[in-house]
Amino acid sequence: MMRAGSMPGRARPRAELSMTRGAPLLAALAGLLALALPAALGIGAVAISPLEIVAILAHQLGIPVDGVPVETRQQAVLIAIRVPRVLLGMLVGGALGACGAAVQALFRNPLADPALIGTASGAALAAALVIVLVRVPPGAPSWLLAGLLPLAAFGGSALATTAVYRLAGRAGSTMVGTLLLAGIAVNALAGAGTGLLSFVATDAQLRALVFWTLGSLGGATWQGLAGAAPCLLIALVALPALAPSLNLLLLGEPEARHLGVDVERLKRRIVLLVALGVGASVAVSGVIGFVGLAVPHLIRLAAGADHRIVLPGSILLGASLLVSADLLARTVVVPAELPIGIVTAFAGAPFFLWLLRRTPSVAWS
Amino acid sequence: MLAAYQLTVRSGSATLLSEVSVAVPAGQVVAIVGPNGAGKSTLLRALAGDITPIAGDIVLEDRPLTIWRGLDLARIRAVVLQHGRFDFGFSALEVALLGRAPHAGRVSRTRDIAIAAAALLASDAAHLRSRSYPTLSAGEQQRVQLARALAQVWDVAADAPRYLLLDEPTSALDLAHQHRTLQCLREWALRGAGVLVVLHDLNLAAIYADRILVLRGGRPAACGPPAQVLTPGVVEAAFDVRVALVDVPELGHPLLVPHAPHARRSASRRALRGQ
Repeated sequence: MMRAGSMPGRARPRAELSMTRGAPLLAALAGLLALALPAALGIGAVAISPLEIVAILAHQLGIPVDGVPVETRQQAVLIAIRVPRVLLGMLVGGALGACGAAVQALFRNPLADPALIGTASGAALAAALVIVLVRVPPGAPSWLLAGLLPLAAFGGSALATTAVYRLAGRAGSTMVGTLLLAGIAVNALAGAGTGLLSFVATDAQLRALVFWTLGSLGGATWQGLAGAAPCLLIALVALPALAPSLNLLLLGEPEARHLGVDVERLKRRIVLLVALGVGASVAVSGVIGFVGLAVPHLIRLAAGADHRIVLPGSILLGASLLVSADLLARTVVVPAELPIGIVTAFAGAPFFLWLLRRTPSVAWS
Repeated sequence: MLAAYQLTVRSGSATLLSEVSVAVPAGQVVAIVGPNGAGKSTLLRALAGDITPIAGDIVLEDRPLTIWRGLDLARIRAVVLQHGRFDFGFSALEVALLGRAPHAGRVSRTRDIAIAAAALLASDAAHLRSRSYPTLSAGEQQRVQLARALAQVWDVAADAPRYLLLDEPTSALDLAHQHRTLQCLREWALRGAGVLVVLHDLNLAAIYADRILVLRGGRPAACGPPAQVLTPGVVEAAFDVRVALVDVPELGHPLLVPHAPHARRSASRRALRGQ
């Protein structure tokens, strides 16, 4: 039998099992999120210290906390604005990270991204359709619209993802060139549709549309959160459960089938869950690009390609990154606020270019 | 036994296979040979269940292949197709471990890792186990894919059936590893596995296969033990190449040698005339 692992006279370039490096990495990422949360909750026009945050939240839950004086203004800002916004950032960031990893496995290509391949713009178009064309009767409850938006965005992203997959998929693997071109076409089509809608939109609708195309967490409310959270949570829970099958899918579709995977069912599930996650994300925060591309990549660089690590890792890192990016977006140009999509694009596009440079040419054949 | 009877496969209007029968009994290595486009890979993929024939039957262990459940099949049968490349940074050990997926939950993780490591050793890829798969050479990737397949059917019960289907497993291998790979498959057959392998090298097939099926134009040109099938007459008819059967006393078996000088001279003349 072979001697386990040791190779004398030669540095081991990487751990041979992702799992061995996975646990400490996930712990570190959870720590990162634990640091990002109080920062994002506390920093802003109204400063709230971590102690005050704990006191306000405890008070809200009916636990009296003595000795920590809390202003009503702080309490109002935290509960009505910051908490829903940070929760939304966490869920959306986590969902975008997980969906990015899943899309990359579906296309068997580490360069796929929900925004690049049209998933996000399909959702944006569907959301724009709802904003501009759906007349909510005056008496109707406002949750009707809050619930309709994620549903429409889900449908739009499912349609766009399926279209791109059909266009780019040949014999069980995808050509990245065809994939990106199909993505460009779908993005252009959806962009034209959104443009046409903005042409006929009223001023108020136009503001909402611009917000959609740039991406922002500024519109976070408890109501919007309630509409999107179920979809996001389903994607966040169900995608990691697919991890072992996603690992096999990387070998190729026939290969995965020969290893006992029901490939057609798996692909349907991926498209469905990604459409849920990205659709709901777009419905509440617009198109936020590059998170789905960059986050899984960083995890793979740190711990290898095993989806049992990549998926939970992408969720944790995506959540931390988006919460931090949102903190940046709302503090760098006070009193104004940058759309978060601009922040992630400024950071993400150079990262993507760097990836193109270092990815071996085999990825392009 | 894995067997196909009177298999016909069409793609559009082209007939890829017509009325081909082949049997892979337990304990035997069966080789498919033939010129490019003869339908070798098509036959292997039909036997693997990837391609649905328009006529004919495929039977595995007395049951039609189509009624087998995917997971049951995956536990006793491994398939290695061509072009097993991908760009995700699994280590070689992790790729071999993927072969253990059909047995998830039935065997301990430690046991799975031991099996994957032993499979890498069997395909002479043990020294690659911590290397990232995309950085391996084509031949090294091929050996890791073989290990993945071996790991998949590694420890079924002693008398349980198991099958290996491999499409050109030696195409990127150096001379030594071509022989090692087929030697390894030979050993698996000795231990009861049924092995179906597509090969280009007729001499490799002659040395290691129990039976050889020669395909040409989607039809069987000959089928039987190497000594009966690999005769100059059959090979010339199937490959359009003149060959001689040369006895090499040191080897203990004859070698097929193509009439290369003639072929090269006429080819270079044609090239010269073309200019």
